[in-house]
Amino acid sequence: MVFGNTGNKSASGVCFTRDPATGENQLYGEYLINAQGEDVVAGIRTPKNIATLKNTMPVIYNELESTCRSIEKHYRDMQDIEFTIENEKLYILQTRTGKRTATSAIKIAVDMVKENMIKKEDAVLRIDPNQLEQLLFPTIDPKYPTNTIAKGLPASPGAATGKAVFSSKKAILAKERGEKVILIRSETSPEDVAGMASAQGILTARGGMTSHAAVVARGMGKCCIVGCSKISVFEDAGVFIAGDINVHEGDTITLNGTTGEVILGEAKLTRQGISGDFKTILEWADTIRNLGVEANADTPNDAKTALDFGAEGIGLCRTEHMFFSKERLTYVRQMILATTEDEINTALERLLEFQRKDFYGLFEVMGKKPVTIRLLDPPLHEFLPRGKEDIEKISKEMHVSTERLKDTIQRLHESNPMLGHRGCRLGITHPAIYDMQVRAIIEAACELAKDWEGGGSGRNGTEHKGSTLNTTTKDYKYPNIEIMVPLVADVKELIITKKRIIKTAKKVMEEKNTTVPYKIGTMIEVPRAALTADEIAKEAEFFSFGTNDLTQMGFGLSRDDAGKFLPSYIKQGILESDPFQTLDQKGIGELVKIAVTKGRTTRKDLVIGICGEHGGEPKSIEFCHKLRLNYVSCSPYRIPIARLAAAHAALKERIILHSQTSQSSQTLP
Amino acid sequence: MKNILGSKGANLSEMTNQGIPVPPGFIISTQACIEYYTNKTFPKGLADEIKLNLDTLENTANKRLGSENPLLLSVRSGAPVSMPGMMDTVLNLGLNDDTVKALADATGNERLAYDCYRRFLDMFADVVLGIGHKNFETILWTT
Repeated sequence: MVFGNTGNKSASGVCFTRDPATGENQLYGEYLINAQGEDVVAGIRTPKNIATLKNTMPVIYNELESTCRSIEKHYRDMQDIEFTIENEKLYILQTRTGKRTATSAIKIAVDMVKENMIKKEDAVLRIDPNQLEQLLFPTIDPKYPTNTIAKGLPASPGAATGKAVFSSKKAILAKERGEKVILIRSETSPEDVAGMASAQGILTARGGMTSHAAVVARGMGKCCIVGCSKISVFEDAGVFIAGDINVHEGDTITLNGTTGEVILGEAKLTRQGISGDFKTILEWADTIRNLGVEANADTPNDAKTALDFGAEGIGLCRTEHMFFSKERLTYVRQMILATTEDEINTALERLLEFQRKDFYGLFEVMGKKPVTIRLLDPPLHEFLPRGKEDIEKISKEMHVSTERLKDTIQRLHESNPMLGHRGCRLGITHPAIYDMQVRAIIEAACELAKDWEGGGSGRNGTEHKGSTLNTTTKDYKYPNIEIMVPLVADVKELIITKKRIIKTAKKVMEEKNTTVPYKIGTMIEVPRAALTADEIAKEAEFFSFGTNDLTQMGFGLSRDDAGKFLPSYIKQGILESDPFQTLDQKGIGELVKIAVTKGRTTRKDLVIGICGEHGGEPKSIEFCHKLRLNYVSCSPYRIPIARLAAAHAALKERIILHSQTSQSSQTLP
Repeated sequence: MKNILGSKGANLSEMTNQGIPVPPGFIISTQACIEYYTNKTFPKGLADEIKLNLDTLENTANKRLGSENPLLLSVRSGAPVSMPGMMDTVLNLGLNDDTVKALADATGNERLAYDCYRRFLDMFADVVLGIGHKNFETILWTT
C-alpha cells in the first residue's frame, strides 16, 4: 500500500473530474495533507479545496489533472477518483462513475459531445428523465439550513413559501391582495381548484400520490405535499398541529415538494428554465423519438407554458376545469337547479359565452397544432356545494331555498360517482350541455378562421412575438380541432353522441357561413371499450387512453382509497409500484394492447394517444412507444421529461434490435 | 470483468493497463467469495495462490510481510454493483508490536509508524472483530 500520512509531502484526497453540481469542466474535490484513507470524507478534519493543491504541490497538481483527464477519456464519463500522494508521488486508488445533479449531468453530456468523446445518442441516454424534475420546479437551496416540522408524500416537486391559509376562498383573497400563500387542507376537492391555483403550494393531511390535490398540483406545476398524516388540520379554527408546534393562519411555512418536508418559516429558493444545454439535450431527444408529445392543458396560459416546454399539441383539454371559477360555477349551478327550459337555456347561454372565449384563446395559441377537447366528464353533483355552511351560503347567493338545494343534492347523490352518471352518459341524457360545448367549439373555430383569413392577428389585434400566429408565415387556415367523447363503453353511445355533435356543428357552420374541419374521437377508459375497440374504431377517428380510469376500472382499484393498502401491497411485493403512477403493463397494458390492435384492424390510420397521468411517466412512455402509439399527453411541466423518455424508448429499441441482428449474424455459418 | 473482479477491482486493473499509477496488488475474485459463502470454507488452493501473489508483491516492493522491513497491505472489498458505504477497508495490515518498530526504523518516521498502527487496530477491530470504531475515536480525542 501507499501512505498519505508520511508527513507534509504526502496527502490523501478525493476528486471528481468535473463539477458534480454544475458540470463545469474543472477538477472538483478535496484533500488533506498528512492523512490516510477515509480522513477526507470522515469530517474530523476540514479538508482543503483541490484548487489549493495547485499552490502547495504544483507539479503533483498538474499530474493529477492530466491523470484525471486520461481516466475520464478512457471511461468516457465523469469520474469520482480517490488518490494518495506519498512523498510527492501520485497514486490513484479508485475510480468510478461520479454521481451528479441534473444540471451537471446535462452540461457534462453536452460538453462531451462537443469534445467528440461521446455521440448525441449517448448524451441523451445519460440523462435520467426523472431527474429532470429537479430542473423544472423551484427548489430549496440546500446550502441553507431548514426547520422541518413534519414529512408527507412528495406529490409534486419543487418548493414553495407562503403564509398558511386553510380555505380556498382565503387563498383567492390573499392572491388578490398580492400575498403568497400555502393552501392547507385535510384533503382537497374539485372546488378547491381555484384556491390551489391561487396558492404557491398545497399541503394536505390525507391522500396519496395520485389524490386530487396531487394530480391537480402536478398539472399546475405547483409544489404539493399530500398524506402528511403527522399533522392535524383544523380548517375552521385556522390552525394545524405538527407534534407540539401549532401553525396558525398567516404563519409562514415552506414546502419541499421534492422531499415531502414541511418547513417552518422561509427557505431560500432557486429556479432554472429550459435554456442552454438543457434545451440542446431536448432538441437532440426530439430528433430521436418517434412518439409525439402533447400537453394536458385547459387554459391559454397552460397552453403557452406547454408550447414553451415543447408540446406538439393539446392531448387533453378538460372542459370541466373551465367551470370551476366562481362566476362560472354560479351558472353551472343555475343550470343544474333550473326547473324550466328557459332557466336552463339562460344558464347555458352564459356558459356558452365563457366556453367560446376559452376555446378561441386555446385555438389561437395553438395555431395548427391539434387541440383535443374532452366534452364534460364529471357527474353534475361535483358542482354542487357540500356541507351545511356552504349550502346556506350558496342558497343565499343564488336566491334558492336551502330545501331546493338540498333536494337537488339528494337527487343527484351517487353511491359510486366514478361509475355513475358522468361522461357520455350525461351527454346522452342531458344533451343540451354537450350541444352548448360543441357550439362553443365550432363558433370559436369559425370566428378564428375568419380572423385569420382577414389577415388579422387575433381578435384583439394583438400579435405574439415569435409565435406561430405570425400571419406572413402562417400555412394554415383553421384550428386543428379534435372533439373527444368521454367514458364510452359501447359503440352505440358514440354513434348517438357523434350524430348530435355533427348536427350541432353543421348548424353552427351554416349560421356562421364558414366551414371548419374537425375530428370526433373517444376516450378509451372503460375496459369494455378497450375490448370492443374494433367496433368503436368504426365511429372514432382517434382514441385517447384515459389510463387513470382504465386502471381504476380494470384493476378494481379506487384511486382515492387505494392509499390505505397500496403501500403494504408494494412492501409485500404484490405490486412493484403504484399502478396509478406507473402503468400496470401486464394487466391494464394488455387492455391497451387489445384496444390498439383491434382499433387499428378496423381503421389502419387510427391516431392513438394516452392522456392519463401515465403520459408523463418514463416507464409507461416506453410501453406506449412499444405499442406504437402516436403520442403521449401529460401536464405541461412534464413535457421535457416525456420528450426525453420517448427518445430513451426509441434508443433502447435500437440497441436491442442492433444486438439481435449482430447476434444472429454471428451465428450464421 | 466487473462480475469477477468487482467494480473497484476491475477499474483498478483497467487503470493499471492504461499506465495510470496504481499501487501494485492482487484481487481475490467474486467466484472465491461465492464459493466461500456456499461451502463455508475457503476454496481449495486459495491460500497457495494468495501466497504466490504475495511473494510477487513482496519482490516488487522489496519488502516482506511481518519482517524487519515490513510490507503493509491495504485490504479493500468490492462488488459488481456499487454499494456506497457498504464496502469495508482495512489499511496498514502487517503491523504488530514488533513490525511497528521496524517500520519506524525503516522510514525514520515514528509518527507515521504509530499513526498507521493505531489506524490498523481501529479498522481491524471495527471491520474484522466488530468492536465499534466509536470506542477508538473517543480515546483518540480524549488523550
